[in-house]
Amino acid sequence: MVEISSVIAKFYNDYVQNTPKKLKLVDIYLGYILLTGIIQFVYCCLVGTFPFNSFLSGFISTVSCFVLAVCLRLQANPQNKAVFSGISPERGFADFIFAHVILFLVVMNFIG
Amino acid sequence: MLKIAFTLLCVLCAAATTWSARTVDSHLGPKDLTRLQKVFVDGLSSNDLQAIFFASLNIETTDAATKETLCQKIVALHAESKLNNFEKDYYLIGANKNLRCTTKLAESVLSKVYSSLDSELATTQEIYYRLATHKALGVQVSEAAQAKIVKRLQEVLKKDDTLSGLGYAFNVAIQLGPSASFITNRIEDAIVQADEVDGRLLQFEGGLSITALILNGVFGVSKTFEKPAPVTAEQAVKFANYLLSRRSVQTAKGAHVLIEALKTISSADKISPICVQLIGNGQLEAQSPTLNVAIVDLLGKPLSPAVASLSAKISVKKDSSVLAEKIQLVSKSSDKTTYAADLSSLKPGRGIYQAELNGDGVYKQKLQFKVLGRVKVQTLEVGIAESDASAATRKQSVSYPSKLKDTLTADSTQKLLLKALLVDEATSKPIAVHQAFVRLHDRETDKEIIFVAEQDSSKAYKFDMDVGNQGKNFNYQNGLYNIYLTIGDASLSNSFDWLLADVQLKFNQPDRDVKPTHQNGPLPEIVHQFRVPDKRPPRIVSDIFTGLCITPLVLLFVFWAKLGINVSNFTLSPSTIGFHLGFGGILALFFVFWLQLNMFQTLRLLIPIAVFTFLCGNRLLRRLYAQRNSKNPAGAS
Repeated sequence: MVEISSVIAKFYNDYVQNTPKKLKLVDIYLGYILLTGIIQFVYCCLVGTFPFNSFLSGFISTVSCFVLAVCLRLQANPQNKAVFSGISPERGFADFIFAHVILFLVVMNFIG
Repeated sequence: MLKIAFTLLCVLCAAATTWSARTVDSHLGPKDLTRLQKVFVDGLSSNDLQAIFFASLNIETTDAATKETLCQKIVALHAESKLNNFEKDYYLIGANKNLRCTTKLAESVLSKVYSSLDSELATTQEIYYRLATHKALGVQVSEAAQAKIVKRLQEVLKKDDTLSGLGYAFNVAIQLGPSASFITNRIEDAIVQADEVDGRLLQFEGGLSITALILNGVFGVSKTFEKPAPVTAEQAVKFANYLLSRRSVQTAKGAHVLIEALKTISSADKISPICVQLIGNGQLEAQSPTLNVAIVDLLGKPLSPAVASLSAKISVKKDSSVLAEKIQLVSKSSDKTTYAADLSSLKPGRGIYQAELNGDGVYKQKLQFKVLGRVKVQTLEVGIAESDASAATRKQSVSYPSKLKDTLTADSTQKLLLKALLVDEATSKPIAVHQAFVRLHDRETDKEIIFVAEQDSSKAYKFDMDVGNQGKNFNYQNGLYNIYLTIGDASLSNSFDWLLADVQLKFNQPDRDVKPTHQNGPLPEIVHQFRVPDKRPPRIVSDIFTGLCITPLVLLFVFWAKLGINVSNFTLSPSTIGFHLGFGGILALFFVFWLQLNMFQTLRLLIPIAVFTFLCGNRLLRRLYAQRNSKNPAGAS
């Protein structure tokens, strides 16, 4: 038990100290999206899926935003520089914005 | 096991045959003879040479004028007839003789006939017809010619072994006499070829004419050559049955050969079957049960040595219990064919009986007859009761054949009751009848409804009808109904249909009026039904969840603030403002798209905004990149 708590404490400290601030911002954003998605899912379980397309567009938009944010985080992470050598964080952010424009267009079309 | 069954079957068959020995069920009665006579009359006026010949053979034409026309007609018909030469010559000459025509026949025909016997005759049929023609002309056939014919007959028979061939050969042999006695060896050959139908008919393949031809032939041959009867008594019965079954024959030839063959069988000593039948419909009245039996030959004539003694064994059909043995049937003095026995001493009850008749110990026949009884209505009660048995039943007695004076009244809470005890008039014992119905008849609408009365344990017939439940069967038609009791039975001589009372029935009307099923005009328009939306959750629930969905946003800003968001990089350069405005514009456009625009309008507006945002964003990010690189040259690589 002590080991687990010490491991968690070490992990947390490591995260706080070694993670760039930009990535922390993205992580908080990811947490926010996850929470929103969970609330939507709970609603669907408790009340029902009607109207189905609205539920689906909301839920899918959270999932997609999460995926896109994860992509952004991967590209912006300095540790992954070797993998995404030709892609700067700014380029990643531009892609992120562009993908969102497309995503929201589709979601708005589907939401009814 | 199979063997035993087979033996049993044989015994049964033997028993069955012994019990109808030398007797048949029917004979050629006056009705049949009249019809056959009509066939001949029709034949005489027809345009068929053969029919005219056979008709002239059986009926005599006395009218001179008719005779003259017929004599001319046969000559004309002979000329155009498509029959074989020998056959049409025979018919012409035969008819000419039968009609006793005064006109001479043409020499050419006659000379052909005379010379025919010298030539080679092809078939027994031809031989027969040529010989018969000679006989009809009254011409003696010479000894030499006869010998030649006998020889030829033997030759032909070797080649032609058919039934008709044999049949004609027999008839030829009869005419030729002793010289053709060889033919007696062929009698058995012919008889064994007879086909049995259902175990009660015997016939030869080819129908009535062949059967009659062979029968006449074999009986004639055995008579001419003084041989024993060619068939057994049993076979004779079956042949007679077959011939009698063909009594509805429609051609003159058929009628002639049928009568001839029946005469032949009838005249055969020791084997000739006779007809033993009941007189009347076989129903005897219980008061005077007299069994009348007719005994005649196949043509309905009295037997020449009449049956001396006729006795009967009477048994009940149902359980085969013997009522009496050796009842003597006495011949009536007025009519030699009728035998009668008074059964009143036996006091036969209502039912079906069987009489096993035995005449002279030779003729045996089983006959079935019925003794009718009379039914009497001992008691009959009719009344109205409450369906729920809340009040006592009022019952009134009615005696046959009167009618209840009061009119009964029943409504839907009541029942109509009827109870009748039927007894045999003679014994006063309760009886069961085939049909016992209660009929309710509405005289106004002429509608009726019939119920079956059931017999209860005390053998009384009961009927009860719940007026409330039966309304549907009456179409809820209130009104005055006649109550009839209908009693019927095949063994009753006084079946009746008795109007016993009137009843006023009142039904409760059915719940809903019957709508007229047909109406003219257009049918109501069918409007498309959209799927009904599911029930939405209450407003408060969705509002709460909308709030819940927004809370993470608040959390987001809280945590970002905690982390210390850096907005120092935010410069007021046109590209920065342009980018943020452009992006905000896009999101606002999407919001409007959700609310009111369609996809095309949206895309049209989106393109300029997106291009603008792209340019601004590009410049902004380029500047940020440059800033970062200048700050930290190592990270730019």
